[in-house]
Amino acid sequence: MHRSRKTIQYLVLAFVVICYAIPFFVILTTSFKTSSQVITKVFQWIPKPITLDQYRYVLGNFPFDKWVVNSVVVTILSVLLILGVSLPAGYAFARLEFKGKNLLFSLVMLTIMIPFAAYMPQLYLEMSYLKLLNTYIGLAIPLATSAVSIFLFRQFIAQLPREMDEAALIDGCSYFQIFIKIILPLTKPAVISVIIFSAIKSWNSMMWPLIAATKETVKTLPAGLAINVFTATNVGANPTPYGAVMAATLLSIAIPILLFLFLQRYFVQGIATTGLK
Amino acid sequence: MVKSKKSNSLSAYLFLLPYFTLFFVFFFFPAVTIIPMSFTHWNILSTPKFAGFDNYIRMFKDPYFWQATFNTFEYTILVTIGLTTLALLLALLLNQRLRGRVVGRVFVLMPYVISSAAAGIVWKWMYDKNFGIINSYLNRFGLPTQPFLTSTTQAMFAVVFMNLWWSVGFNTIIYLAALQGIPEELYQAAEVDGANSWQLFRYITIPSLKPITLYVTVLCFANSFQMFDEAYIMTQGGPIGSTTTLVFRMWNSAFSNFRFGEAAATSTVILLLILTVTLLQFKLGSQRGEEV
Amino acid sequence: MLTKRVFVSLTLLTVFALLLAACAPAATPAPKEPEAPPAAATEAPAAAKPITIQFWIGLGAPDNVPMENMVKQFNSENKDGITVEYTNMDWDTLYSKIVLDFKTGNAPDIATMHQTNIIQNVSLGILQPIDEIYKQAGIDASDFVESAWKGAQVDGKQYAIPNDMHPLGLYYNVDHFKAAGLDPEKPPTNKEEFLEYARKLTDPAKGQYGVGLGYTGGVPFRIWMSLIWQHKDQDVLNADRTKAAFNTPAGIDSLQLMYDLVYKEKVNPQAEQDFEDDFKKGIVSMVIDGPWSISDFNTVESLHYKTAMIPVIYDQPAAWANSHTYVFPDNKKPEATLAAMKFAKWMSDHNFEWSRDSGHQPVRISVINSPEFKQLVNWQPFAATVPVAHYYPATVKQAEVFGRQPTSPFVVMMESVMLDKVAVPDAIATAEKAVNEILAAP
Repeated sequence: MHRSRKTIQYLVLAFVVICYAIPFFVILTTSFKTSSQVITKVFQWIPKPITLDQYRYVLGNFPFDKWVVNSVVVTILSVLLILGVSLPAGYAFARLEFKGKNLLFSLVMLTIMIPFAAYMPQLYLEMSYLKLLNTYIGLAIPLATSAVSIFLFRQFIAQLPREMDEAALIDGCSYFQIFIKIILPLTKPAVISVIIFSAIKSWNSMMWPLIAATKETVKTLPAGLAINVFTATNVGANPTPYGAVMAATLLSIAIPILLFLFLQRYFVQGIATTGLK
Repeated sequence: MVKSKKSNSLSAYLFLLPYFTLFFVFFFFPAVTIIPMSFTHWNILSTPKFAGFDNYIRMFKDPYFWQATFNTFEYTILVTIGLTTLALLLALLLNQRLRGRVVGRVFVLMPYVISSAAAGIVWKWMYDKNFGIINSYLNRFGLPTQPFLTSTTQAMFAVVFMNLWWSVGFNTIIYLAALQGIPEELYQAAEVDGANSWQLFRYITIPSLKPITLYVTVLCFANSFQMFDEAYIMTQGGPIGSTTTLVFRMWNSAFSNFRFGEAAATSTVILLLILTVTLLQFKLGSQRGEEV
Repeated sequence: MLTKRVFVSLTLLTVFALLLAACAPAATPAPKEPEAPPAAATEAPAAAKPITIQFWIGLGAPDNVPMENMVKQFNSENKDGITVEYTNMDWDTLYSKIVLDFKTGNAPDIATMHQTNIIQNVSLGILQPIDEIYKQAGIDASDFVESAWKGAQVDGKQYAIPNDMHPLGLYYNVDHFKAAGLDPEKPPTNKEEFLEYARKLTDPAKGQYGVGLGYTGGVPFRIWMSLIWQHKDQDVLNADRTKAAFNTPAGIDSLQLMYDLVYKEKVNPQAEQDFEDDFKKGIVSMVIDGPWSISDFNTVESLHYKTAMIPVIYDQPAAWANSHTYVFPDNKKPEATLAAMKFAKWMSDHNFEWSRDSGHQPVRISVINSPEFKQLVNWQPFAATVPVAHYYPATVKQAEVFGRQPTSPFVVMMESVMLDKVAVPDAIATAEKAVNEILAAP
């Protein structure tokens, strides 16, 4: 009985993997087709001949390397910013008692309730006065106001045992020392999860860079691809170059997927101990 | 521990300072103007002109506003239920001791790293009536061609389905982690008491996952209520407005028609709706939590 | 004052007041650098001091590639010490950004813009008239196609330099014509021929249809408007642009024809999502589309096609068209505007290259008549369409009336008819009401 259950589980797992993988195979094979092979009446799983035309087009006509560098820089900046502001805030919300705690936490909640596009124009004008347009930090900041990582850190820190910091408090440590010496080392798993989720979010963020990164020199990968390659935002005006889209997509997810493969073990463990259970 | 509350408060504010600096300058300050702005006529270059409830009246009179509201709720409910259940099931599966579960985890999360534009285009293409891979296989099995994105009745479901593929990874990983956080001893003790696997699931797994489920549904609801990219790329909000959401409408008022007052009125409605539902969710969540 | 007081009573006054205060200086963007008086600029010799200008390209893929190549060529020649820094965007982004950036004083010195969007941007105060400065840069207005040149005027003032025109034309599949026993040298020219050809080219067994008009996006309703303009003295809006004028027998009949091709004649696929891809795949044999598709269709080796003017279905030849132009936001930097104008002149002087690489039609008469352009066979029917081309009626509400948004009146009308949801007269009446409301709104 136990064996047959395992068999079923394997079958289901195989089915799930196939379902989730199909679009990737579509992307993969299509990226190796010529433009006229892309449009055949019956889908071809293996292109013949296999061609690198689409990759040549994407890498040859557009500053792909520059977009990747920009995206990496913005992603790193935004992750650092997110950790820098939400770790202490998560600690305060989890451990400390203060006036207005509930009010402030409700305010934080607002960030997930107001659509970004709703305040984007005002944010844009403001960034312009602060001379932050076309800067990496200006692209990273709006990602750092989101409540999601604060939630995670609050939850995680709240379930850490309190004995150590109470002992430290009696020893005359300041809250700052407690945070640095006791809490921070324990939050590593949560930090890894936040790094991965916010990095993915930042890597894919499109709406803000589309508007805020005017100069070609700071354009990020999703904005560059959407405008220069995909015609994604010109739907109905221009035909979509599917082959190029697929090649560019594969190139753009290579880095995050390698990163994920590398980190996935820590990642699941990281969340496992965030107390989100 | 009643160590001086005062110093506690002060340190707390210092810890909150970095975040709330960003919050007030780059979120609250621009976002809060939406409410007064919704009572004006403003094309961003002119000085705002007070308009009373004009924008709201215009909006409530517009049949497309009601259609967009309906579409938004339809989409949000389908996606929230779909993503939560599917993620839980996938997490249960990927938590089993199976060879190759890492492959499974990778493939389930992988779509999440694709940008919305790319994912939208890929699926638009797969859904295509004439040369989409889905219809090509439907035909091969003798089933009729489906219009998918070109049908007023199917388009919304097609967008929802794409989203189940695209963003289930996030929730799955969170559930997976939560499952691993359930102490093994609980299960062992219950097994000793003779519980079968259904009972283990019903009386240990489900209750343990309650807090995380609240977290997942709140986030999921707020996120999908603001859906825009997917519809913008896959259907342009059509056909006949059947995938136009409230955020889509707001975007058009602001960036196509330069009616920023009208856009602000729509945003205010969006905010109020999400706020109401989230409060409800918390209320329900905490009540249920107490039962356990 | 009153408005302000109301705000105060409303909510959150401090924040808003702060914002207003912060916004105020932007309304009149102060020049950042000390500027030479305009007179000095006019006297500047050819080898003037180096200047860098900002250029926004709204074309999006794939037209952005030839445009970028031309800019790079210009920069490598470094004419008059001018360097052009360009930014690629798509139209939606360009049209929303230019407003935001004009407010903050960051608007580009030169940008691409559709001719029909000029009037709205003039009314917003973004664009400057260029009557003096284009002459100064040596641009010869008489060498431009008149409709393109005059179309870039608002109240008699010139606001843009036209770069191309893109009227609708007919593309047809040569192999399908031959297979159906039709002469590929003789495309359909009137209603009877068009219907006859469409029927002959339709072969349900092969999954092949005679025509592909699509049902969504911009092109289908532009085809419908072309048909309206093929009637004598018919237009989409009334003369003073205050009311819709398409709820007429001409408007209804034109739309009914498009509906009938799908549901009565069955020569057009139902709910056709992407007619350009259908044409490339040989699913449809004839499509009506702009010249921008030439370069795209040329990438498909298996596709052999030719082009023709849209058949004259009604009284006279007519087709929808628009043009891409260069506009000059009012940055109060005369030197930069002059440099931008010189760049526009260079681009215009390379009108042939642009047309050849993008498919769009040249607007320089000397180019249209040049032997090298005459060799571009598939371009010629579009060039022949230019004299009978119609633009959208000029209105400041152009984005709302003629937009491609899901709830724009014409998109809804077209979709509900072509998906067989609403009868033609009802769909037209709904669109008429919507357009009238938009035109009447403040």
